[in-house]
Amino acid sequence: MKAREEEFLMLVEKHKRIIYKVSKMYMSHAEDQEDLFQEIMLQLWKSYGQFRGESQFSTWMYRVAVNTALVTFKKDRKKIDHPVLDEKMDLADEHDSENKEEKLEFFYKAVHELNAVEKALIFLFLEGQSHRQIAENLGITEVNARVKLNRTKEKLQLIIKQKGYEF
Amino acid sequence: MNFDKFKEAWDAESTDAVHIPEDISKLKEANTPIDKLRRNMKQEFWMQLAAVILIAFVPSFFKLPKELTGIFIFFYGLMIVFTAYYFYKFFAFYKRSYDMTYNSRKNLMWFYYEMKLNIEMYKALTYILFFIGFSFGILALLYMKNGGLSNAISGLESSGGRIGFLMLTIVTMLIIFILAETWPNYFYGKELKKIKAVLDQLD
Repeated sequence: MKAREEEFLMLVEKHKRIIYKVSKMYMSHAEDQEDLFQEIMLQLWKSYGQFRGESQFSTWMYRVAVNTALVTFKKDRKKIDHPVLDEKMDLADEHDSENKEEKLEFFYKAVHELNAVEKALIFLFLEGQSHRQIAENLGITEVNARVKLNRTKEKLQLIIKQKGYEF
Repeated sequence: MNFDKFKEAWDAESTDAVHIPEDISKLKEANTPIDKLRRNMKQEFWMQLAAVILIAFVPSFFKLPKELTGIFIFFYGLMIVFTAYYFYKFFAFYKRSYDMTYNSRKNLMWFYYEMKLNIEMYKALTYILFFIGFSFGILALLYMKNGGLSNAISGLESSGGRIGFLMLTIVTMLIIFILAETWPNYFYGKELKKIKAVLDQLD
């Protein structure tokens, strides 16, 4: 059991960026991100027995991580984080920034305005998955995946533009 | 926004500061809506079991006469049969595990229908118990009204006692009705709606 646990942790360590990125995309609050991170880890471990190695570990991990995020809901909070987005975007306007970290920061904030499935589409697309792979993971048709992804990209571009930031 | 350009930033994002727990046992317990439902069901099982045992003392507590005790035993037996059947169903649900390796639609459908089914089963059990209690209450009142047992029911001899008994039955029924409808909706309705909303987003 211990050897299997070690093997699992080693594989997760190698692909931890998947859990990290999903947590950041689905949750805006740090505490919620941490909770989702733990939940994904736990679900991965619970499902690890079913991993037969027929696909790559990362391929299998994408599915479990996205599925967990889709059924994990953030805690109700009275304060909404969105005003912070406007404030920061205005600041960004004043500086000519090509900084990758800053781009990512604004990207994550804009992504929080998408719905759960749109987040999954953008995430899988940025991770280099084809329309067919996205469709298989989400359980929709390839045509639907393509249409939805294009709409989501446009929506995201619009959100970013409306906030006065462009990259 | 140029997605191709942005992908460079996306791929370059550093995760060096991200730490994976060294021990699986340090992780918190699973907290999906299904897990929460199961945890609550487990807690409630013990409460319901205690209630079933306590109800068994009703005849001696209210000093019910033999005839009425016989009727009580019949209704109590019915209650035990239905409770046992539903507890068996709930136990099967408790043991049935979900599979996060399904595709998202299949996974969400599983969550949605399992939750919905069990919430409806819970409501059904509450209503069955409600009608068993209600039927017994009515029968008991009829016996009292006819006077056949009025002398024997020492605790319910006076008109005040009868009114008290009637009030107790009504209030109990009302509480059960409110609980049956509002309790599952209050605790799980929100999450059920959220799962349904995600499912709809896939269409």
